[in-house]
Formats: sequence, structure tokens, C-alpha cells
Amino acid sequence: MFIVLRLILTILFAFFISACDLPGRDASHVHHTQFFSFGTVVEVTQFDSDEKRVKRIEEKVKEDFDYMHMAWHPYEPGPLARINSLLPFGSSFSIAPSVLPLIKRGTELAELSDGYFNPAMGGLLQLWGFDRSEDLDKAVPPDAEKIKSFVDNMPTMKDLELKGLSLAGHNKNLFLDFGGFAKGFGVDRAIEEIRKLGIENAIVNAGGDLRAIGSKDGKPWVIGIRHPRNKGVIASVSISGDESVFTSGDYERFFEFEGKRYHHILNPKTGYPGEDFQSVTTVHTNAALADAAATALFVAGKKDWQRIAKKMAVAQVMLIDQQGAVIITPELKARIKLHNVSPDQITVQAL
Amino acid sequence: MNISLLDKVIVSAGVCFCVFVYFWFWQTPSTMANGVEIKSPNKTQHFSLFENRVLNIVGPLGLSQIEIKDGQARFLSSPCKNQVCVLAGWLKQSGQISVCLPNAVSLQVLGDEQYDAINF
Repeated sequence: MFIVLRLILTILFAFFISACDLPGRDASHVHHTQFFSFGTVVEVTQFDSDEKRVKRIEEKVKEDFDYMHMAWHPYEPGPLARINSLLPFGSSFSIAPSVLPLIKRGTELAELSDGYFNPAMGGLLQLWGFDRSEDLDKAVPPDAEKIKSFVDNMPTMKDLELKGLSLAGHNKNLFLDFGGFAKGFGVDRAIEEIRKLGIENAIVNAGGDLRAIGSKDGKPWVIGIRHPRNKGVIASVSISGDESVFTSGDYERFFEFEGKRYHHILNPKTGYPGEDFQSVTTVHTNAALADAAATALFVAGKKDWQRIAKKMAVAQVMLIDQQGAVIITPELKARIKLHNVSPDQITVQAL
Repeated sequence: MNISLLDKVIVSAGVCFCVFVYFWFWQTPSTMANGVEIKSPNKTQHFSLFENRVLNIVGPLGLSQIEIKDGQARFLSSPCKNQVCVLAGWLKQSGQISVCLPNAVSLQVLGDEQYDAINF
């Protein structure tokens, strides 16, 4: 009788122990939603038990992204397209308030990157045909003379004269395209809205570029960084708190001509695609800065990326060069997990 | 207090049971992909990754064909110009996604999640 009693008590004790919960086990409060915006898939992940609030936030973020897409698209009818149609005239005109923060932040980031990030050179993207992604399969590199002529008169954000809501352009090549950081800027805004609505644990992922806040029931968010050439991830990083992970890669928009890949991350100093890297990943609290920095470091190349990263105060950087070797800053190396990369392929370089 | 052999057996069994319960309930789930989610403008559908089939998904441009075969899925054809979705090839890892933007159709592999998000 005692034996049976002891057996029952032991098993009950085991069940008692197993009933204890550990942080991160409760995945039922993780909610994902996806929608098309900004020409890509935007995914919002939230950790919250309030279903109604989750739904409200999903709707609000989608609404915001749709508005930003309309307001900030360089070609489709909207406030930025209107600006681009009026800039060539040289005289001043009024602009919509919705574009003002984008122009101001874009100007700051262009200056901070020493001009490697240049939202004023939408005309160069047009020259290469990267504004018409659907026709890239037939694209050929533009005439070298045309590129040289554009670069000789390269427009910059300094060619804009902004007074309140009045804007004038002083370069005939000016065409604003904020594709290099609009996603980051949009992600920052979405996170701001999410926080205002009371959510502290979320990820906003706009086409692979993301910002994560808080955690998943006390456990960090785990972000995989896709390999620029192979299937699967090359690295993963755990985030708890508030950080953005952005990657610029030569695999996003490109065409091949006579065996050579021409991609959309153009160097404003040369007019040609950056050649040194397959991808550049940056980690920073501010998504807009991380986005612009990934673009700037990509085109700055092996010679100049450290100087620009230092200037932009982006300490956590991973660059994959054309041979597939990994160059990484010590700040990021200390926390990142690299997958299937042999040690001889990794170089740690401080800023 | 005398501890009999039977006591030892019972305590050992209890300890083994605790260890079993710990690994069964507390450890990180496997990361094996097991399904796909297909989104089109009108609906979201879920399918097993282990039932071979070809699905016709209607988008604004026309018909996108998605093939599920032997634990992987891909865009077989799509009415877009660039065919980026078709060229993406087979998807088999949890979290992988391929999208036909012109036809507004997305294909994502689901499973126990290893990563909360993928950066690319």
C-alpha cells in the first residue's frame, strides 16, 4: 500500500515540476500578419495576449504603410512624384508636409555618408533602367558617355533649397528617389505607432529589412540573415530591446549582360554598381540610419567602408565580399552566430 | 530510516520521469518545415508540405501555379514578366518565402520556427 502511495506521490511531484513555465515557451501569443506594400511583403510580428489590440495594430500599420507608399513613391501619382515633376523647372513650389521629414532626414543621412548615400540621383537609376524592374531581363548597361555626363553633374541633396514648405531644385539632373532608406524610415514610423498603441514586443519586417523591439516572452527575437548566394542563412543574431537589421545586396534588383552582373546599388562617385561586396548588413537602433548605412557602405567599398561606418556611427557591420569571405566588426562578431562559414573565411576589422 | 531497494527504484523512476518530462515539454521544438501558406488578394490558404499537388492560384494578372512535392514547394509558373518567383526555385526551410509581386501571390514555408524573422 505504502509502495503504491510513494509511487503516486513521486509521479505527482514530477507533474508538478513539469507544470512550471519557462520564459519563451508561450508561442500562442505570437501573431504574424503580412501584406503587400512598398513594392514588397511587409510582415508584422507581435507578442501580445490582447487579440483585439493585435488586430487594431495590424490594420493601423498596414494603413500607414499604404499611405507612405503613396506619398513617397518617386513615380506613382502622389506628393513625391509631384515634386519630381516640378524640380526641373528650377523655381520654388510648395510641397506636401508628408514628404518634408523624408527630405530632411534624407539630407542629413546623405551628408553623414559623405555622399555615398544619395537620394537625389534617381535619374541615374532611371538611366540604368532600375526604375522599371519588370523590364530588367532585357536591360543592357547604359552608354559610358551618358554615365560620365551624369556623374560630372551629379545632383545631391545640397542642390535642394528648402524653406519651410517651399522647395526649389538647382540641378537639372535632380530626381528624388528615397528607395535607399524609405523602408527604414517607414519601419521606424511603424514601430513608433505600435509603441503608442501599447505594444512593447514586436518586429516590423519590410521585405527583409526589419526592426525588433522588446522580446518574445522574455526570450530574445532570433533573426536569421540570408546568405547572398546560397539557400538558407549565413548568420543569426539575437535581439532583445530595440535594434534594426538591414542588408543591401547585389541580388535584389539586377540584370546580367555578357556574363557580368549589374545591380541597382549604384556608386554616386562613379555612376556604376558597387563592385566589392555581395551584401552588407548593418545593425543599429535606428532603422532609417541602418538602411542608409547599408547602402552607403556597400558602394564605399573595401577602401572606404570603415571611415563611412565610423562617420555614421554604425559599429555593427558584416560585409560579404565577392569571393564569399566575411568581413565583420568586433562589435557584431561578439554577438552574431555564423553558420557554415569556415574560420579562414572570416576577417575581423575594427572601425 | 531504512531505504529499501524498492525505494531506490521508485526514486530513480521518478527522476527518469522528471528528465523525460523536461525534454518532452521544455526543449526548443524541432525546426522542420511542415506546411505552406499561399496568399492571394482574395484568400489565404494552408497546405501540407507532404501531400504532392499542383495548385492554381488566381491573381490580378492571371494564374500562378504552385507545386508542392516531397516536402518542398515552388512557383511552377506565373504570368509575371521577370519570373523572379519561378527562378527562386524550391523552398523547403521554415520561413522561406517567394513572392510574385505583379500577380500579388506569396508562398511561404511554415513550420516550427527557428527564426522569428529573416533579414535579406
